Amino acid sequence: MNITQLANAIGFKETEYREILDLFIETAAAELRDIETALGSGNAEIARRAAHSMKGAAVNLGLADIGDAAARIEEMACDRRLADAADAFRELAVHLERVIRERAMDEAGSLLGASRADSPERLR
Amino acid sequence: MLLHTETHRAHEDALRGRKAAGRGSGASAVCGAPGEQAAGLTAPLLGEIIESISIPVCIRSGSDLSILFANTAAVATGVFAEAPKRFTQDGLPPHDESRYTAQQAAATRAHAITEHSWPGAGGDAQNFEIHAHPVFGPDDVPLLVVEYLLDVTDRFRVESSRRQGEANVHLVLESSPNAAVVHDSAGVITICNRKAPALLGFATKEELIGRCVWDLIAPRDRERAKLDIARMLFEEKIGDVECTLVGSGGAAFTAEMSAVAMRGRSGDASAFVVTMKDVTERKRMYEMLEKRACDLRTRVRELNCLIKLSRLIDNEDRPQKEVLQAAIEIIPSGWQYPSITCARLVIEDREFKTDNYCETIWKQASGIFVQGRLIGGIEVCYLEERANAAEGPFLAEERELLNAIAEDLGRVVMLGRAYHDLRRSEEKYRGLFEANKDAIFIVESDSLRFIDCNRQAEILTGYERAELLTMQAHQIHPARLADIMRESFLRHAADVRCTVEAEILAKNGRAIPVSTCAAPVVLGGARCLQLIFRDISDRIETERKLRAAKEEAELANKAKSQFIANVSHEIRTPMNAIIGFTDMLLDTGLAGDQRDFARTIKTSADTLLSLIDDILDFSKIEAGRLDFEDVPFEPERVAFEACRLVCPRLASKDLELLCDVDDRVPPVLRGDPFRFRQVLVNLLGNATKFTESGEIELSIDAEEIERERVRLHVAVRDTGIGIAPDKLSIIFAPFQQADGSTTRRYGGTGLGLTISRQIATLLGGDIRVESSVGGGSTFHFTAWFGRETEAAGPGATGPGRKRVLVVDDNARALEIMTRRLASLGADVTARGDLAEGVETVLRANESGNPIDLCIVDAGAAAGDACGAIEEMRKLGAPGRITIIEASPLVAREARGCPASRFDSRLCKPATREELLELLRGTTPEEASRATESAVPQRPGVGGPASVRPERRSLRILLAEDNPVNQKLARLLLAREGHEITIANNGQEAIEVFSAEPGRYDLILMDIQMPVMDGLEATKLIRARGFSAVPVIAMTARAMKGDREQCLQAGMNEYITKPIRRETVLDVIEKQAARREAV
Repeated sequence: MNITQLANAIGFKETEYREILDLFIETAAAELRDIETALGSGNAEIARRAAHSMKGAAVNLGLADIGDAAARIEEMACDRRLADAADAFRELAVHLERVIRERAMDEAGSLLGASRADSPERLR
Repeated sequence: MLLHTETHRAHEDALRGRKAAGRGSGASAVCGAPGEQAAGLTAPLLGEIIESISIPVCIRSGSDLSILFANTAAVATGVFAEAPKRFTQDGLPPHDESRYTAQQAAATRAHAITEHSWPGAGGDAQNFEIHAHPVFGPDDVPLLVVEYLLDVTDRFRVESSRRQGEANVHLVLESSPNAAVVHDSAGVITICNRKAPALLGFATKEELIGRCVWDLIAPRDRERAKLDIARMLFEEKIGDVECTLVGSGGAAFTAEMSAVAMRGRSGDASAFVVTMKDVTERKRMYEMLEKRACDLRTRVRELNCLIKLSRLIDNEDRPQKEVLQAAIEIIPSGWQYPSITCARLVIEDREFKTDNYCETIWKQASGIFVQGRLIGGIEVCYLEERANAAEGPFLAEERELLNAIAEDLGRVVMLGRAYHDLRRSEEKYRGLFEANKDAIFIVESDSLRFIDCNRQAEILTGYERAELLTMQAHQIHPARLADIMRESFLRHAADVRCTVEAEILAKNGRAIPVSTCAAPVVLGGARCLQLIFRDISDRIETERKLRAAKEEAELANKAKSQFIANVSHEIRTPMNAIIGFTDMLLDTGLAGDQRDFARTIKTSADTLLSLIDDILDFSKIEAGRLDFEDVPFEPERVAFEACRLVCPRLASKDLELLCDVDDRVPPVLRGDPFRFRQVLVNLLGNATKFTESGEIELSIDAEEIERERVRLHVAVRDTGIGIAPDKLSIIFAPFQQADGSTTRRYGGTGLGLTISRQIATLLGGDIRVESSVGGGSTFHFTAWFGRETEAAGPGATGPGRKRVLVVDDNARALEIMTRRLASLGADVTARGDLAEGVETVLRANESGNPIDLCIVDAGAAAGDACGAIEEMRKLGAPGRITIIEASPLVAREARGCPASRFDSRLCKPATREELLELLRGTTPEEASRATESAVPQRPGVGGPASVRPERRSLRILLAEDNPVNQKLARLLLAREGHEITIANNGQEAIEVFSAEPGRYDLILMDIQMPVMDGLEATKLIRARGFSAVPVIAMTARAMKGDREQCLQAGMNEYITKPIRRETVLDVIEKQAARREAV
């Protein structure tokens, strides 16, 4: 995950993007739980709403993988095919985990590197 | 044969005759002279005798050696002859050999023998001896020589073979590697080899030969050696006898002797061969080996002792006491004489000893040290004396051994202690581990296998310990999301402690919420994790209950606030109607009383409305929904706006309102200008409320300037009634005023300061007050604002240096005005009254540097000012001096001088731009108008033209439930200078919009939202008659036909997520422009 690229793609500063991304992670984690619960209990409407919401936020942030997976869940929830959504859910969780991990790495990097802007990797 | 001379003679004659006869016949006897029968032995008798002898015999005359008589055997040999004869051809022996022999005998007067050899009849060589024996007469002259021939062939053969044997013996002896001698039965050495004299220190064999062999043996060994050798010979054994030999010169050395008997034909031993070998070196070697073997035995003994000790030490399970006792009992076995060895060990206050311990003078001891400290000693005693050469009772090795043992025992003690400590520590930690209320697992990092756990772990998980130890960490950690996060957390942060909350899966399938603390540990070189799980079910439950209670309470509070907000809103609408209609009523021709009544209605309605606004804000604060904008604004402009808002309240009072903005305050900041202004207005409003005369000063400076932000300090000073110290703390509490009576006297809800303080707090600052009763009050308000990229302020475009005269009777106002004008580049002269002002104008003119601009405060111009103004105009440079009246926005009724006397009027307090325009020569009123039109309806909002020239600032209502998208949109739009209000769903959007329909230029509407979706909200807004406001749909396109649905619902435009900056901004711009066009 390249924060610089993602931020540039949607016209934000990196710091702003990070802030939004963190908010996303927080929100998405809750939504993921909602989806999980909804898939478990067969509540298609809740699953659809949560997936839709996550999809919107994800695509806004340029997180296509998550957006994709969420869109698939939304679609299946629409068609009341919750049983088919397990794969998409797993995928969603995996992508989300990756984003979380990469964000953590990014944060760790920013804690380690003195200045983000001064870092040659960033400039390249 | 003693013969008388005569007899002798007779014999000689007789023999001679025989000889002659013999010679003649070959067998006739020799006949002697007749007189020679004196001895009673007649010649014939003698001849008979000689003839009877079987060996050849011949008798010669002693005088001439002539043959007197020869027997037949002699004649047959042909050996005996008168004259020398040559050898015959058949090899007969020479006759003169016989004569020669006789001559020898006669000459030496002794028996002479010559040896001869000649071929015998069989051709073999035969050996003979010719013996000649002289017989002397009475006159001791040789009378006769008796010769006889002995055939010694046999003897010779024996001799020669004996000689040969002897030569062989030599050969054998020489070939022996050892010294060898042959001795006879008497012990006399007859033969020896060359090594023998060398061994014994003699130069030659001859020196040795003839000596007695026994004499060579040292006296003390001699008899024993002789006996041993005799036994050896007797038993015919081959062996060695060791003895000391003494060689030539007395040199003694150890040798081995062996003897063999040489037996003759008879089988009797006639000689003995003795060999001798120097074994000094070998013996030395043996001795050395022996000693070494002895040493080895000692070593082995010592080693055994040490090994036993070390085995003992290694046996960790035995109590140290036993080990030490056993050790002391082992010790004697390491000494040379274990049976008389005893030992004692003292370590600190403990004593260990062997049963036979008894202190003696034959004692050795060694100290026992632990970590350099002497903690005891060990002692070994011999019960009896045992001398070990020069070494004393103990061997050097034994001393070393004792030291080694002491060292070992020191180690035992140390190990014992360490072991004990370890045991105690282990027990302690095991105790902590086991008794811990938290479940503790040790997990191997790589395999994630449990390698240990405590009792609580069993209780928590429901698994037996043995089961757990076959499991892996993830088996009790289901891979739920929280765990995915945790896992990644653990994986990335394996080197740091971390605590996360997660759930573990118990054996019965129950998920137990736990707080997990993971800490890396290294156990026996393996990287492990220590996982500590604390069951937080109770806490979670408590938290859940608390949360529920809190949510309930919040919900109730929110409902209350919501109710108030709703009611306030519901009240506002009719209030607006009341105010509007009252205004309209006042415009109609009303009778005096009616007008008064209507005016009262208007005033009351205004008051009520502001009260409602306060309550609305307060309820928003309570509901946690007080939102802040983040847009660029000009603090100075906001400050002046606030001043102007309160100006009308000053009209009826003798109050001067001053406004001073420090130059350090950046011209443009980021933040929420409305909230900023709200606080300023509130503070100024309070000041005007509680101040009857004097002045109110609003001053702003930048208290702290950082790279990204600025802390503004606003001070509002008044000269009012002040606040009693005991009331200072309560004035900020809601619904409180310093005095209940003030409410009655001054009105108000008492919410203003509460709201202001909330705002200040939310802006990272505070509000505090300094006051004294009768001494006025100063409210200090601090808040942080973001810094905006510095744009060149309007002051940069200087108007050129102008000479300005300021006349004001208020010293503070004069000072502020002077400073502000000066900071704009003017050359300012300040005067406290008009007369001085006139004087200054005159002086300036005279000095050739006339006044360009004269600003006269209305207060200073009170009374008969017209004359002075005229004077000034006359004195000033013709057509050049501009005289301006500075007066409050709402002019006081009593005016000293009509406005027409002035060139223009400056509203007090004047903004920087107004002053600038004034200096540039534009009239302040024009300047004022220009300023206001620049930002229509929303003074203070939006950046100055230089910051965002391309876009207008809009107020946008965003209906969106997802906080991510809210944030995104807020950031995006705020950067463009737009002001965003957020509604979390359709319902809220309707409420917020309906509350102030005129406020919003645009609505951005998410379609899918909880409570009420965007489509419905839009329909309702349109249904309420708000058709002008553009509504733009934002959707993450879930379904086909969305766009149509949106348009049908009354939306104007449709944006799909992802929200792209340019798209959104374009659409917003387009819609805003469209609305304006409409």
